[in-house]
Amino acid sequence: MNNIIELKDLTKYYGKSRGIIDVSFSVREGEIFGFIGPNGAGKSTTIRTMLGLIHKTSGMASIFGKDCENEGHIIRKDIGYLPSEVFYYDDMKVIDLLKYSASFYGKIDMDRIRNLSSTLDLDLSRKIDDLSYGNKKKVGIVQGLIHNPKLIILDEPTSGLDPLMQQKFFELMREENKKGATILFSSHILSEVQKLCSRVCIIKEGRVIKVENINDMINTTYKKIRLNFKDQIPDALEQLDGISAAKKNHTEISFLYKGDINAITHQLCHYELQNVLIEEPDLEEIFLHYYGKEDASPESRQEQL
Amino acid sequence: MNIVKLEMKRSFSSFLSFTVSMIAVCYVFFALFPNYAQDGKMLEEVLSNFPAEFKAAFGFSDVDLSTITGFLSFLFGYIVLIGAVYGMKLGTSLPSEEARIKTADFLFSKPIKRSRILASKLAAIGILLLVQNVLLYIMTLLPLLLFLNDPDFDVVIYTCMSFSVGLVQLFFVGVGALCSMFFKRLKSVTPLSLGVVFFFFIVEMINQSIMDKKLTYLTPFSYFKGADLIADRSYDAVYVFLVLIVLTVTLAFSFLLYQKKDLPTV
Repeated sequence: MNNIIELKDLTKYYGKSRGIIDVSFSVREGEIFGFIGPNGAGKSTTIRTMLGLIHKTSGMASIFGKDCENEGHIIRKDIGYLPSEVFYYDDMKVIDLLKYSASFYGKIDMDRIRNLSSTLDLDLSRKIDDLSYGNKKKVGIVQGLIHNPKLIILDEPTSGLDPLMQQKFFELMREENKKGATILFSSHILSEVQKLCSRVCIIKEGRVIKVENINDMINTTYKKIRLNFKDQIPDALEQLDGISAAKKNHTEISFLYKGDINAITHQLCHYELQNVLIEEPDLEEIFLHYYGKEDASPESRQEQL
Repeated sequence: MNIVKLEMKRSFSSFLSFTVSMIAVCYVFFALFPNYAQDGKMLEEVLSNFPAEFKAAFGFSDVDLSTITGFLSFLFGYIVLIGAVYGMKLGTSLPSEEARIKTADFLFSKPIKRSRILASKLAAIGILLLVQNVLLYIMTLLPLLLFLNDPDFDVVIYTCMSFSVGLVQLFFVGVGALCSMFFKRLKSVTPLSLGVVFFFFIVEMINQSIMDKKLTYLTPFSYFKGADLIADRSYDAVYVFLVLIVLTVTLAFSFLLYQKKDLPTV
């Protein structure tokens, strides 16, 4: 499979302040790729660099095998972009804005505009200025999809949409993905990334912490284990490889475990247990663990998990 | 082409108000002229009481207000000023407007080069200024020919005066574009526009008062003075070139700087 997006050591400084540092990942053709991190982690900076809205300090960014900076105008023909904050020309009507947007991609497909708008319940005859934030967001979604882009870049797309509309939006994205579109989905809400994405890149303080298959991340690799001991919690337990995010409370300990499940069950049979619970952690917990330890460097955190 | 069309549409209301006010000011002055012509002697006596520097600064000194060409040259000193404010506003908005109304992410993520976007906007400005100058010329020439019927009225001189508005506007389009490059995001273009235009206007006033030839090159308000136009019946080619050079250089720098610029996050 071809890589649609390829970033290598992409770095952006705003003057002296950090934007992103050495961001590297690639997105394959046809996948829905999650890009996740807290506010200010550098998600938008990465996306805006890819779109040529801002200029990288160093590193490499390419889309469809073309350099983002030099051939940006060619690349952008096949990109649909939904910015996190949507602003349009206030005095325009929705339909005029959409036609204007479509005019940059050649022939205006009115059926496509009507279909997308009716899917999202968007009134085409209203003025942009009179729209609520959620409705402006819908305009943003439609203008990003009109030209059947091969790559859809979404920067926190669901903010401002009600849950019902979010549902419709996710369906729409799955449809586009089935038709062959690759999707880069940036968000700080894990559950929605979990719902939609196949792989995910986690970014914090401008650096990529990990790129991982979302199923590996949740189902196979990590287990959330809670143990209740009769007496004291044995110290040796905490020394085990693969244990992280340990929380102790008298005779109870819970932690995330990564590694061969047999290794830990062998170990546990040495102790007198009152109760044991092994379950799938949700992404939120894994995520909190990544972000929880402010003191640790990204490298050491990577090793821990 | 789509950008040019939208730019024209979006600029229409400010275009209309500037054009109408320029023409309206002309009409008001035209209506006053017969009185000036009659009481020319009296006006001169009144003005003779003012200090020479003051008269020079406000454009009373080097022309005879009781003749139609002299009167028009005085009037156009101020029409040019209004036009200059409009030109500067357009120039300042050229690279800064999309960031100001936060539509930059929308427009610049379209498959089009930045230079193409600026060039389209520049084309729209060119059309607006051309239409404005032609409208101003025709709408003011007609009443002058039809109603005033003054034998001293010289169409050639008037044509020069009227289109000097456009030349000065070109100077400010360039200066405005370059000025706005030094701001990350301009909240409003009006203070900057007014400030810069009046700076150059004050330089011109000082120039008039102290009559220093060197200062003349510094301000476009000195390039196409009514008194010179009346004397030569044409523009001084040096100043026309100067305007074109300033326009070219400032726009070239603006285009270059704009290629490198990071669009502000909304």
